[in-house]
Amino acid sequence: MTTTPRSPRLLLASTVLLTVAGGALLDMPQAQPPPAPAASPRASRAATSATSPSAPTASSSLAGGTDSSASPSAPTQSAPESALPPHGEGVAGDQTVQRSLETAWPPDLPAADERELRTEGRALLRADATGVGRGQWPDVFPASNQVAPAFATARFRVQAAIARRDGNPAKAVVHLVWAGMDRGGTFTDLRVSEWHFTRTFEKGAATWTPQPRL
Amino acid sequence: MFAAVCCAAPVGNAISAYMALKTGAQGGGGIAEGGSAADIPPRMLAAYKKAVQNVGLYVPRCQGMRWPILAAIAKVESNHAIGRTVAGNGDIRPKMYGVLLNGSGQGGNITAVPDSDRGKWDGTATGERAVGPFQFLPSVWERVGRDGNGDKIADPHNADDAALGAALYLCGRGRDLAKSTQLRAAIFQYNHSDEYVANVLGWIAQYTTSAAGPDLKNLPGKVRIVIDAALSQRGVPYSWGGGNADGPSYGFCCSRSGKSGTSIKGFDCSGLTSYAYARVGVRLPRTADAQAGVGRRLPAGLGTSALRPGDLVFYAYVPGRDSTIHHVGIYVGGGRMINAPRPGTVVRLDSVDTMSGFAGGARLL
Repeated sequence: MTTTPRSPRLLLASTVLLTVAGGALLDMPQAQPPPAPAASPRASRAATSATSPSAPTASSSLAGGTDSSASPSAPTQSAPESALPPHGEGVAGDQTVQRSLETAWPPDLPAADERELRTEGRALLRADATGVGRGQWPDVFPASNQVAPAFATARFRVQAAIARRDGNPAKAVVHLVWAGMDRGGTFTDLRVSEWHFTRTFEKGAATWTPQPRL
Repeated sequence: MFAAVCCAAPVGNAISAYMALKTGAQGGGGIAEGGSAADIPPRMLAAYKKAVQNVGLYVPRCQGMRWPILAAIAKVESNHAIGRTVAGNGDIRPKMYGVLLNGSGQGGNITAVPDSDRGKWDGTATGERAVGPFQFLPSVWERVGRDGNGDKIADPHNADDAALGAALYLCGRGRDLAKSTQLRAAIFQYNHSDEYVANVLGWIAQYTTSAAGPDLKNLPGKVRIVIDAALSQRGVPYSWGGGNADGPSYGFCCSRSGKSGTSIKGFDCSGLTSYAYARVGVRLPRTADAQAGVGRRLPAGLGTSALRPGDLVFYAYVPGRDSTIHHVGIYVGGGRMINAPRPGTVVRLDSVDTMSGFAGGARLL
């Protein structure tokens, strides 16, 4: 179906009106909510616009789930999928996954602690999945010298990792997104794992100690 | 004692080095590729089912053993010996061997395991390697191996024998595998890795839920319309940016890795949900993360058991942080969802417990 051409004067007037309205909106304070605490089941949606600029604001008109006709005016034509990489995206998507984690869950640990925890979390995951380096944590992997690698080292890859507080300052969690190929040859990415740590003190020095998972 | 039944990962490039994987290796999607009983060679599936029937003869107290448990183990250990020939009596040829466990570091092989069978099962007296579709170490097979096909030989290279041996090993002295803690312990015994356990559990869920079709009886009218609409699109290809309230459409260019939907008429995950819900007049936002803001949110902490047919189901990099939601499907009941999983796949049913990162649901109806 074709549409009727519009009047140039009407278009000019519309442009002026939209410019003024846009300027006014830009002067308004951002209405984004603060980042959600770690324990919150609902995350901040502030990052949504960064990762999927075309996404319309989610409507609450359906809260309670009754009248569907009152739903938001979503576009009737396709909009690009969220920029978040789906399964199978490969290494090209890893940076986006990392940014997504960092935006959704803002840093709350001293930078040095986060670096240390992230490094250790990656190594622990690698040790658990592939067997490599288990001897470093005999308390976590009691059978450290007698392990059968569950995942091949060749295609093991940590796609993204962050370290954050885990409820209180003496606890931390390393959240990892990773990919690997199991012994049967099946490769899967976007696997989600967490390693939890507690802060302990030895001879006055603080150190992060990983907690067994099972 | 060696902790696990099975042995080392492939050498270097796992696919080339691990005989078992020569023809069975999967593409880039893994569990996201899906899986059902139809994907298992019939003779192998028969072996799993036979082992379930017979394990009670050896471990009467064992409960909860099901073929999906054995299928999941065989999937992650050898991809069901796909690519090998399985004879009528269950013999698998060529035989399947893991890498030699000599601690050389090849393929993650970091543990030297002394020979236990003088090459009887693993073909070498210089060390130990895992064998057969369930990748038993010969030393473990010595303890749990049983004759499953009635030829009076317990052979780990035989599908029936290996499946029965695996069932016995998992049952231990009488586990109740219907209890999640005992099932996890049984799998962990097979390989002392939490990620191994998670991997196997994912496949158990996938095989379990794929065994039955969705039951749409007694569903409220609108819920049934939504699910019917989504199910009617089964087989339609995934298209990056494709699909909308009106149906399948050509998608967009491109994802970070260059995956384009411009030449594929189909759906991406949120395109499919948009289409299905539009059938009852609900216009959803276009992206998966935005769709999590519609209706009544069901937090991930409630688990998948809180889902009802028609609910949207979400997956995230960080469950609980909705801006990291990257996937959405529609729950159809019975632990399954209808979804457009990823580029290269089609609209299909999957277990909601298989994909990593379950991030709860949303109830719109």
